[in-house]
Amino acid sequence: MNQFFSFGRFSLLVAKHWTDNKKRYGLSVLALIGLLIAWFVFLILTDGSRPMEKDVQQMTFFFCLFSLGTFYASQYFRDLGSRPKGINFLLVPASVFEKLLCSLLYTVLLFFAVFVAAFYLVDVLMVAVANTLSGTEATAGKPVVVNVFKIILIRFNKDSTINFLLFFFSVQSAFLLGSVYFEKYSFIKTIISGFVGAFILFCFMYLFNEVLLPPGDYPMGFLTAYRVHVDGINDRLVQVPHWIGEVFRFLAMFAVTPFLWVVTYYRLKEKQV
Amino acid sequence: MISIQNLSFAYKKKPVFNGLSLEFEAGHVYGLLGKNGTGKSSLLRNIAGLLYPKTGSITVNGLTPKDRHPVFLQDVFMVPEEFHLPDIPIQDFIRYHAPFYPRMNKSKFNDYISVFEVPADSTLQNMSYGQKKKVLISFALATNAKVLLMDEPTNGLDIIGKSQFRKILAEALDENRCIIISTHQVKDLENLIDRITIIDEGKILFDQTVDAITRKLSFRFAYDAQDAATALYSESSLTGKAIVAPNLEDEESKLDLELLYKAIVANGNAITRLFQA
Repeated sequence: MNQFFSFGRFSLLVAKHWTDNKKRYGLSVLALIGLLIAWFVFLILTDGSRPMEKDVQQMTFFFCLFSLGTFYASQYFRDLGSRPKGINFLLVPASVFEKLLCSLLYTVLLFFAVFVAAFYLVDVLMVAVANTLSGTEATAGKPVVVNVFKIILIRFNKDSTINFLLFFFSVQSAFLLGSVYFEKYSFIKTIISGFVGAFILFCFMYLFNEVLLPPGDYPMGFLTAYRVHVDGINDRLVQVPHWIGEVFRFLAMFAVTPFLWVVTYYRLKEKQV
Repeated sequence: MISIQNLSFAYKKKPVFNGLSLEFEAGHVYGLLGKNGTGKSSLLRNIAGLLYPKTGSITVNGLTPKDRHPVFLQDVFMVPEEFHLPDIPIQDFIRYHAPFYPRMNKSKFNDYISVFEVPADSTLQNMSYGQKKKVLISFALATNAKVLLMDEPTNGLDIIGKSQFRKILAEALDENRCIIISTHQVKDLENLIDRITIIDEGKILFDQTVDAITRKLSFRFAYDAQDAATALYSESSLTGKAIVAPNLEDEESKLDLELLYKAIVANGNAITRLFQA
């Protein structure tokens, strides 16, 4: 028997998790739908002239995605913070990899699928309601259902963009790690740790720029090309090879999330109750 | 079956075990006794792979608990003192939790919960602590796991429940299974345990089979004052002086676990010498 991964065991684990939590999950989805309806109804009632604008729909989508997605991820391994529940979790005859994979299936794949479905269910309904209420106004001015996947790329500076969804999965995986790492208040502690980490990074970058580097700026993308200011005429451009920039970009977009999953795996493996 | 060699374990800076060595064999019910905080539960959790030794080694069926491999977890079931069960119907619990254990016997589970008088169609959410514990004990025994670790299993059970527990456990014993029970409520399990291990301050104070104990020690009331004075341990009761004395006449006496425990705590060295002789 394979002790690392068995599809049979993994399926059992997925079914067990669903059975143990289906009531909580069902109520949570209903609460999400209720909250979205209440929010959109509030907007329609308070801003009758231009209800359900694209920006509002986009903001609602991403705000809810980030807040609920990170909160759910931060709660997934909360059982490990309680001795009775932690014992129950760790003694289930499945490998650590299967337990991690099950958490990713629920917090990443299923959460995202259910969230998008719930959002559009309410969004389509509320756009129709807003259109009905706006009556005979010109079609061009009427609200339409927004395609959130069209605007997942946002501009970071003039040269690069950030893929908002990949960024979301990175942040969510940090909260999943936080739920293993912190036994209590993992959501808040992960946020605080994130701020502390960001502050340390900021200080490091600041010192790097102000102390180690000569005066200059980044004219062609952050960290890949640096213009050393001399007198405006004899300025020098220091540039790393193009492929290094591409590697940086690739790592920032695609490697952070799997890296945090690997850390979560090892943290879970060494967990004691 | 379970081999513990030179185990050292500590909670941060508080040492619990230092060089503990023990063997547990299949076909026995071990009673793990000791004062509060002496490390009984910690030992069980080390065996289950929930805590990791600082130094030394533990092997269970040839596997290392720390790895928590599925093949290990299928054969080691722990009934902790504080436990958690999901808020689902018993039938869902058995349907979705039982398949993890290859030797699970569902009909035995139904038999056990019926002995415990727990309705099979009830929901765990609506049950008392004692009823939930009965379900967990029934499940633990029905998994047919080779190693069963029970931490204060009779805590929370009512008088009838304790007697039902004894009946069920006696039924579930077999030569391939090793059951280790950590308990303070020694009277509840007196007739089931066949080897007594007493831990004190992280060390083995006493480790003998019930047969050896009843061969070497006599548990009875003192015949007279001199008899009481020469006993290894004595205590007054309404019906006379209960004593633990060397069994010099090869007389048959019923093991009194509570008295034995007190005797070992009060006069451990003399008793140990008696067993070494």
